[in-house]
Amino acid sequence: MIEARGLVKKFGEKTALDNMSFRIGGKSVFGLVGSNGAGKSTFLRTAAGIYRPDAGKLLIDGSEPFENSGVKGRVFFIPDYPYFLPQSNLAEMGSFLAAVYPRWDWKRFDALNRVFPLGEKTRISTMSKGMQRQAALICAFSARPDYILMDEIFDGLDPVMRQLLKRLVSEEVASRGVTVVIASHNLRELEDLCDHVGLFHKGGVVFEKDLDELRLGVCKVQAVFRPMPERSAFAPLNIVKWETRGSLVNFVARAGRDEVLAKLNTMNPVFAEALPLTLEEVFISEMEVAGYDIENILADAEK
Amino acid sequence: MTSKTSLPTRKNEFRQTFRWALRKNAGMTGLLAALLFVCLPMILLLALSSGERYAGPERTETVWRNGIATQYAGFLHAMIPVAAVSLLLLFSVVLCVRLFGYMQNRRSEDLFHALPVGRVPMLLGRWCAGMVALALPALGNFGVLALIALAYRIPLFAGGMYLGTALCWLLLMAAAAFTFLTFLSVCSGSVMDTILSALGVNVGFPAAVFLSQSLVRYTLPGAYNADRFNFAVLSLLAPFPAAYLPHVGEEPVWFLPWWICATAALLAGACLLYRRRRSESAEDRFAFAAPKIVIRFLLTACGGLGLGLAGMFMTGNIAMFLLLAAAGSLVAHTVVEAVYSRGFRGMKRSLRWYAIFAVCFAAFYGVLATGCFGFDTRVPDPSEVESISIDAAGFSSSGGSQVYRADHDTGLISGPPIPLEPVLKKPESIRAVLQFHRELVAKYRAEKYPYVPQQGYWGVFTLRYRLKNGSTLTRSFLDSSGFSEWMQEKEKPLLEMEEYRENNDMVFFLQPDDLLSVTVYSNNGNKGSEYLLGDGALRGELLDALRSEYDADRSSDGGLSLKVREPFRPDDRLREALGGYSGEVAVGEPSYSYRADGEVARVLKEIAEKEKVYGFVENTGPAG
Repeated sequence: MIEARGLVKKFGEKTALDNMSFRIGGKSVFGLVGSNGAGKSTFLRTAAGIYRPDAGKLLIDGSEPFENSGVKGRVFFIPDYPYFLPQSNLAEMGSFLAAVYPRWDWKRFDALNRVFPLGEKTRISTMSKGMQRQAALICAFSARPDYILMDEIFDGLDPVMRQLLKRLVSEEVASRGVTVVIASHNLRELEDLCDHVGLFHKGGVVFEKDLDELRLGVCKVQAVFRPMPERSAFAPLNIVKWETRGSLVNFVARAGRDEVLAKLNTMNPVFAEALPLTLEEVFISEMEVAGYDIENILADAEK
Repeated sequence: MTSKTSLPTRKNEFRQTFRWALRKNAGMTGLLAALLFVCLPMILLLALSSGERYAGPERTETVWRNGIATQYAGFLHAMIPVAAVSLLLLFSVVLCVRLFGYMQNRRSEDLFHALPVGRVPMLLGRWCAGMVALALPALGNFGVLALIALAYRIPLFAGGMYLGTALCWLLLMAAAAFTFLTFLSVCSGSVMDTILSALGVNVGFPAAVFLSQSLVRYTLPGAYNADRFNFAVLSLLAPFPAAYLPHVGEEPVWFLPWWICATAALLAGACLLYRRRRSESAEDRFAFAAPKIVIRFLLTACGGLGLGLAGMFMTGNIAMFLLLAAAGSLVAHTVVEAVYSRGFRGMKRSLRWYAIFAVCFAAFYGVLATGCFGFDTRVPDPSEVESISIDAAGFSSSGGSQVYRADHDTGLISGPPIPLEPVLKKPESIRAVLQFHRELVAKYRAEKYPYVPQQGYWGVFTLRYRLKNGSTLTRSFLDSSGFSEWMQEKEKPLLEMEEYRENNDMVFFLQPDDLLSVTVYSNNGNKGSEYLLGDGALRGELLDALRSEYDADRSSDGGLSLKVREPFRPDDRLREALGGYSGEVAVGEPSYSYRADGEVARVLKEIAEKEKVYGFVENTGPAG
């Protein structure tokens, strides 16, 4: 389990992680989503033991990863721009990592090299962005870690490779009980893969929920009323986003579909429909609540 | 935050890091070995074999072997500093960038700092790999040099000893330079800043110390040190220039322990700081700002003192000194800040550091101008003084002999002459010198206080008091004050004291057995006749005659020069007159003039009658 307790990380004047507290349960795929600069990469680097927290704690199975080889040996971090040793190929990277990762598995390495046909002797610096990500994945899975931290891993991967990645991750979770944390803006892919999601904004956690629970707990509604009731009549529905156009009303409510429809029917709509939200829609509506939406951004820019 | 990793694990991490880093730098190790081989054994072999070819059949085995030994020793003395030291310093920079460059790149830090390897074993493993990459090629090539010495049967004293000590110095100073760069890598945020900082310290520190010493020498009466600048002090914090000093015989006793301790301290400091280093400081300006502050201070001081002193010497105006010192330091501060900050963004904030420099400079100059807490007026009490040595270079006519540092192994003479300072012990001599010193101090206080930098001329008058409590007190006055005439008038009785006169030239220290030959020149002729001095009694007579006529009113009817035996170790009396120098010395053919009707002329006539003429030589001009 990864646990943040009052975690603070500052870069000069800027606070990247602001008193953050939450947990990532074990044996799951956890998606980190959030606005740009929300602190997702900083969180992953702190969890990988690269950054030292300025205050609070980040614990992996009860131990801090910074300067702790025991913990770091069970964690593998793939950054947004993976780095490889200069002039190295996959075989050399394998040798380098095998010397320090205690559970390095050469059989797994060979098997993955067959799955991702990159060529063990090909210089990594000559590979494309997507191929370099595949090389990083080969290294990560071969190290047999308990925790794999991935930052923008879908960038540069073609649709087939994304599917392959998702399958490999699912297998690792199912067979070895690995915990995978993925920070990404590609919400469509995360939706397929993650079972938990955490939404970061301005160095804090807006929410951290089970994905199914999140989807079932929020819905978007389209309804026609003649005449249109007062807005206060909808207050019990815990509305996040609201829009009306004549007799048509669109809104997002933090409540289950059946609960919303039951309440709407008491208001005699001409037509009413409640649909589950995609992760992207949840993200946009929650960020609007946090004041992060296009209208606000443009308004701030005009100021 | 303490480490939760056990020692055996750390050892294993160190071993793995070391092996990997060594393997990745095998190419650099090979390249260094090849370059050292080309510069040292290969050129030496070519030189020795060409010497062998041109030896000629008429040369005996002994002469040939001595020639080879001299050639071997000379080659080592010339090429080790030029090639071996320079190459190892260059490769210490290259290896530092290769081994520690990862700290200055955020992407590479994502890899290295996420590895299950502690920071200290990672740093030490890489440092050790760098040291092995530097040391192995040096050891191998010095081994080949030793084999060449064996093959040519070159005796141990003719280079063998030097080879061993040179290798030890080479490895120590390479370690010092490499560790210094490692330390700067930990403190810096980019490779560029590491290199700039290394350059700043290695140039800035010697320059700042040199200029500060110059300000002291030219401002504070009695502080002008007649000796040469102490290069070891100038390079105290600058391992790159310091690496050359042991190979040119400039290392004092403390030099070895200092650099061992400094290297160990730098390595410990690098480990300590690396544990605290923030990964996010990569690609930033500095991880730790202290080196930047120190370097900026040093270079600001260089700019201020350099321009100020130059202005002072050109115009002789104290206002110009202060104005140019302010301008120079401000320009240097601005340039250094702009280079480090890659622009002028932090300039305004950095001015507080300039203000600190300005306060330090004002305090430093204020202390000098007011006599440095009584330094200028300190004259020992006669009861405190055991002896006084005087060096009046530039104020009095020096004797006809000069003494040099010499190397017994190679016969090579190094450095400028060692000044011969007559030591005065008689109470009346001591009283006379103290009276002179008191009068000089009073004159300075009356006419020159508060002190300002003075333009320097040539004359330097140095008094070295050996006190009864075992300490020494040195006051060295520069002829920069317009006191020349007054000083010469006051010094004259001192320099004419019998005790001073009889210790002022090597002729009073040489023994008859030291003389090998004498070359006699006519007063107007260019050719001289060299006589071997085989007769011990004649040698003694010649020395007695020279002593009796030394510094007399000479009409210079002719001149002579003496050839003295090979480098020798001075006896106690000579050692005292040489300021305690205990190494071997060589006396460079002392020359004297003589009167036609004097005792020297009589002895020379006798020599010409009895001794064999060894040859004729070109007149190089006897000293008057």
